[in-house]
Amino acid sequence: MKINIKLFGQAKDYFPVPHFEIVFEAESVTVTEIKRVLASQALHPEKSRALIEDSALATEVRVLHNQEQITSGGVLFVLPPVCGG
Amino acid sequence: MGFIHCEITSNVISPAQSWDLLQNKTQGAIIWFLGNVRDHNEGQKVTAITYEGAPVLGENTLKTICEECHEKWGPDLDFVVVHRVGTLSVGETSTLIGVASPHRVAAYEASRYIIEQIKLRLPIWKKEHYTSGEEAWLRGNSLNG
Repeated sequence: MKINIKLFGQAKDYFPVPHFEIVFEAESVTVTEIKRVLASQALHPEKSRALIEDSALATEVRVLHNQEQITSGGVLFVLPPVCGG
Repeated sequence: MGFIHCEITSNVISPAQSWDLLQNKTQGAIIWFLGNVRDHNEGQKVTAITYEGAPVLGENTLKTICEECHEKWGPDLDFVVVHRVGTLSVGETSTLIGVASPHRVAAYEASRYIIEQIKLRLPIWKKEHYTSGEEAWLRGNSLNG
């Protein structure tokens, strides 16, 4: 399963590019598992761990819970803590 | 059910253009809120703020917030909520909230609710630019759950 990751905000500071692909051999992964892989691929895994943990994953239309199972590929957004207004 | 217009835009926010959207003879109170870029924050002199957002997700979030207002203050309220993205100079408007209601109390309360929820939930990120040449992402509220 291929998941296209799109980073927002300060999350972009921890990866070489703002869009990239992660390939999972499993047919289903949880949001938590995707975040763990993200943290392992960050430029500074130790520094980025807290930010990735505090970040939510979302589709283009809704924010996902950490326990949700992702069963099809597609685009997922990485949303660091937000501060609109 | 009242009217809801929500928008994440890179265009300059124009209160004049939004004005007509809330003109309705059944509404006795209209509250407008504008959020502008200020020239200082936490002891630093600010020259501009870059706002980054997820447009579709953001507009869905704004619509959900307005629907919550309908549940709290009645289905007849009308809303215009616009948040800008891009780099804004000091004094430019980042946020416009318009609420029209038959009565003033609901309009005031719903307007306040919307801006507070925007700060907590809207997928927008701010990078401040300072006179020193430095820049920094602002801390925010986690949507993780």
